[in-house]
Order: sequence, then C-alpha cells, then structure tokens
Amino acid sequence: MENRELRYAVEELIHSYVQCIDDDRLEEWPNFFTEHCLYQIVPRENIDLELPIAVMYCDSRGMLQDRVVAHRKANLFAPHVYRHLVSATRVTGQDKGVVTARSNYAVFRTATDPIHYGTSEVYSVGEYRDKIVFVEGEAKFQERIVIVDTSRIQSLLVTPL
Amino acid sequence: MDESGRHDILHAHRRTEAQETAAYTNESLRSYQAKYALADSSLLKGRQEFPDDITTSIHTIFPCLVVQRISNTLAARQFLPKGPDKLELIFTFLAYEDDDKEMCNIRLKQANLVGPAGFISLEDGHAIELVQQAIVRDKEAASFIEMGGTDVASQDNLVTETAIRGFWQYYRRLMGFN
Repeated sequence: MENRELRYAVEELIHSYVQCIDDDRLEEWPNFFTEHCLYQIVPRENIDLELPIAVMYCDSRGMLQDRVVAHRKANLFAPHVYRHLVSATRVTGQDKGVVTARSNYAVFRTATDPIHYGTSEVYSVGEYRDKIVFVEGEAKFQERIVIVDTSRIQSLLVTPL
Repeated sequence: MDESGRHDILHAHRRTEAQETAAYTNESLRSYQAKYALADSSLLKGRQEFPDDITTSIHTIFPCLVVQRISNTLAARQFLPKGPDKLELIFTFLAYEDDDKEMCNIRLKQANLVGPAGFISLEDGHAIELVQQAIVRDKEAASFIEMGGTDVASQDNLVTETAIRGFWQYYRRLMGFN
C-alpha cells in the first residue's frame, strides 16, 4: 500500500471510530477491532511509571460487546453524549503488516438529563496509540491504548473513549 | 462492625450458582436478570489465593479509607472531601511482587469490575450525585437512609445501609453535633 493510501485508511478508521461513538452507535463500536484485540484506557501517570493497571481493559471483541450490553442494559448513569476532536494523527511505523499510529484527542461531554441538559464540559483529553491491521482489506484496530491525561475522571466512565 | 459503628468489614462467601440465583430471586433484586450472559466470560475467571471461601472483603476504616478484595482484585480507595459538594476518590490497585503471569493477568482483567469504569462500581459515582442533588435543596432538613432498619449493628446480609448510618452516627458524636 502506498504511503498516501495507507495514511488515508488509517485516518478514515480513526475518524469513523469517533463518529460512531459520538453518534451513539455503540453497538457498532466492537467492529472497529479485530477479534483478538486489546483496548485499554490507562492514566498517563501509569504509563510514565510503567504500571500496568487500566481504567478499562478489554482483550477480545467479546469483552467490548459486554461493555456495550452493560452500558445499554445494566449500568445506571446520567445520560450524556460525547464529541471527540482528534488531531495530530501520524503513522509512526509499519512492520509485518502492523501499522502503528498515534493521535491526540479531546472529548467534550454534554449532559442530556433534564436538569443539566445541554451543559458541556471537557471530559477527557489524551492520546490514542494504535496498532492497525488490514483484515480482508479493511483497517481494524488490533490494539488501541487510550492514554488519558485526565486521570481525575468526572463521576464515572461508561461510554468508551 | 466495631462497637462505635465507625469501622466495618463487609464480606461475602462463595456459593454455588444455584444458591446464588435462589438468593437473588428470593429477594427480588433488580440486579438479577437471567437473560444476560457475558460474550467473553474470561472476565470472571479467578483463582483462589487464600485458604478460605471469601470472595469479597471490603474494610471501611473511619474516616476516609477503604481496603478491598473483590475476587482477585486488591485495592485501596481513599476518599478526599474537597468541600461540602465535592469529593475525590483515589483508587490504588495492588498486586504481589511474586505474582505469576497468570495472576497478574487475572488482576488486570478483574480490575474492570471496580474503579470509575467498573462494572460493579461505576454507578457509585452516579448514586452519590443523586443523593447530593436531593439533599442540597432541603438546606436545614435532616434525612437518614432506612434500608435494612434504623439501627447500627452488624447484619448477615448486604441489603442494608447500616454501615452508612454507623458512619454518620459516629461522625455526629465526634463533631459534637448531637
């Protein structure tokens, strides 16, 4: 794949991913990943100290699906929507069919409950570190590590970043 | 619970799946719904590491510390009051230096159960907000949580808020509010 084509495929994956979450199409979210995958949300402090604990840790597409079912059916939380801004996306390497990329992100969270309706806040800022592979020509995340600068999580984290 | 009601230990013991289901169904709890199953049940695969049948042990140490074991997760929670309407909760997860790789992976995966994104605990943050929203508008009025009776004493089940009553009862005495 040519560099320009590759860059386009990577950016398309990253942008489709955030639009899927921002549009509240969470049921489609696991499909952005390979079946055996790693999705982690890790505070930046833990990365710096080389401590492995994550806020969210899923190592299969099944675990991602379980997160969605819990979100829709089990967990109780104040209703909200996200708006992701993604920038500084760069392909940083390519080895044996695995493309590495990184991007910055900011997520604004807007309340949709009757009391706080329409109130937005900066909910999370940080970085995506991705390993992307092509499955039958389609780009998928084999690994997506979300490094959150915002380790002070407001109330709770239920919708994926 | 200690005599003054300030510290307590909450513990749960291993039961068979049939006993578990019966207990939940008998108490008609919202939390039990048979139609859901995990797509990837590896989340719940644990390993016995202490010679007892305790699956959950949560120690509340007055005023601001909680030390917990839930399955194979070991963690401390520090509650930092930041004012009358703000609080921070710091989670610190622990492991043993000589844990093997399998146990490390179990602990990392089970950490999904607790913390700000925990399957079990994420709604604690929401619950506190709901309580806060309900009490601020009443200013001088007083309230208490009646689930599981009105007294402060050890109980043999978890459908109770006796520990919260114990906390505030002791706090009021300590602060001379009585």
